[in-house]
Amino acid sequence: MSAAVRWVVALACESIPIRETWALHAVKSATPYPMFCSDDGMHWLVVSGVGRIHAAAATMALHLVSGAPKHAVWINLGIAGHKHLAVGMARSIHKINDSATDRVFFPVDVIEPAFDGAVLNTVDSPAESLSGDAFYDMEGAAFFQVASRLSSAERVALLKVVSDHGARAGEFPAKAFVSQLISAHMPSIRGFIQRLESVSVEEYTRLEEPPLFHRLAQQFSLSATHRIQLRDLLRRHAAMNSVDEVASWADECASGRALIGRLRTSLEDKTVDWRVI
Amino acid sequence: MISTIYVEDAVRTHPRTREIIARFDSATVIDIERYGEVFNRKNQNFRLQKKRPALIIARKHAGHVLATPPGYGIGGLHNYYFSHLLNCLYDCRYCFLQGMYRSAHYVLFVNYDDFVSAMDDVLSRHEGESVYFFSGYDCDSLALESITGFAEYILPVIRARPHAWLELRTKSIQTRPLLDVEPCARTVVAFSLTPSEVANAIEHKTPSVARRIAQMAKLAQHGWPIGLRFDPLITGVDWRGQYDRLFDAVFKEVPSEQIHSVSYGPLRFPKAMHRDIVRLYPDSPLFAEKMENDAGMIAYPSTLEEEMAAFCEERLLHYVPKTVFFQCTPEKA
Repeated sequence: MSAAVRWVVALACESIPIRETWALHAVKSATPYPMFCSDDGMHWLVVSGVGRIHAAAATMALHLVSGAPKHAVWINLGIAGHKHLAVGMARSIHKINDSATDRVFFPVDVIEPAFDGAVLNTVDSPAESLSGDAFYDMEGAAFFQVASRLSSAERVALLKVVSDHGARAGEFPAKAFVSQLISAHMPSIRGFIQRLESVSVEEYTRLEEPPLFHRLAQQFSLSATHRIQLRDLLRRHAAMNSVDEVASWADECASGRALIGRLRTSLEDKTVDWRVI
Repeated sequence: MISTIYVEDAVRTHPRTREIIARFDSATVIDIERYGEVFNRKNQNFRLQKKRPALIIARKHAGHVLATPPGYGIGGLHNYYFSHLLNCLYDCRYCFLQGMYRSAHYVLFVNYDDFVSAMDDVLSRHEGESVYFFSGYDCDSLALESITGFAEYILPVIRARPHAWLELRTKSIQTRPLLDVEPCARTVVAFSLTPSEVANAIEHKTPSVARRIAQMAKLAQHGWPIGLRFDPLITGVDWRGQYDRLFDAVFKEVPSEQIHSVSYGPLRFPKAMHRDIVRLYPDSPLFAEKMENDAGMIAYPSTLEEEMAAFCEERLLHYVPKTVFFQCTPEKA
């Protein structure tokens, strides 16, 4: 049972503290986006480059190359502009305004967030003058749109660190400074990721096939309908705590049809004992 | 308890909104245009949201009061329901809300006056006749009373309208607003009950059945009409014994003369809803029992359903007359 964490960052210098914390190593891929992976395969990271198109494309590329499972959690971590928050302050994003489409997105916190909440405006070019009490970046909205399709809104998080109070096109903070800004928050981010991992594991448990399914589906010749029935009957046996019983006689069944029949009839005389649930 | 509050622009300055925000001063407040931006969007997960539901404060624009499905009622000819609140504090595994919405956030419509206007419209359509309004369809009527103040608001409304009846459907023991005032003969406080063995296993975050019964007894002593809703009926090992003990416990504490109505109903889900709920909670024993498709509704086999209904009716008749039995579930299609 394993969590799955997928990181999307715009800049290589933003990725350094993450790569160091989770000991990610470079992975060769046929995509133009640098990717990194932990030895256990739990954490994957892609460096998208700047801008919404690259953010969306890199998120999708990471999904495909890493074989991201349905229970994966997705994180976009990076620097952003803010009119008045001090450089180095970090926030969890709870609302995203997409300036290109005027659409609004809402990541959903189901665990304690890493930082206080803030609004993010995703723009298409660096914003020289920032307004309101919002962060400004160039990737967040696109990342969220794609990641929340691959996952669900509860398993997508955006974390932003103030790097400037407005920047001109082509002007970026020094790479080492960006890495420092992110590094300073790694203890909080690490704790947050642990909490997210537990969400990922919970989803894994919910989505996984019932016990014995893979073995029996492979062992018996089953039609598509029988596979669906097998999954549902094994789910019910698991909920009734009678998987061991199934394991004791399943191999004796002469055919897939016989297996399905016996799984069904063996549930007939079972009913839930609520006192022991 | 509430760490995030979304607020629709239209009700940002509503006194009720201000009051709620002031109460949760450490909550993050997020402005939204319409609650649909946040609530029930695609790719949301009810089960995960249930871990930390947010409160959405919104305005209800239409459909404030709707007719109940045919066959639903507690003795009146004209039956309507309304939902000033969507979703519930509790997490009962049989609840249809988990299959109805993709979001577990609570949506509170604070324009209570518009609900009352709609009730008045309905009352004027049935002039001189009793009209029953049911409030606990999409929520528990009292569980979030400390936030909504809805019961406190609606009781004087009902008192002032001699043909209006109200059912507050609840599992909550937060009944202070009812115990602090004179009872209203046309407001039924209806408690949902399952045997304690079932409640302990699948009615998560609810007060125990014993505490609910104790609260019912207090309300009955105070003079409030009490409704008993044994809904849904849940099977299991020794279900007859469990229901026997439940009925005994209820009628030992709650005087029969204060029982306004009793109803019991089967466990049933529309097929698509059942599929969605099982996907959310595949490991729940509730969905391991044998169930059948009865004209698009997934339910226990009809023989079991009928046996449970007949058993409960027979036992309940030991305590209350058949005249107070009603059906609070929609008729079969």
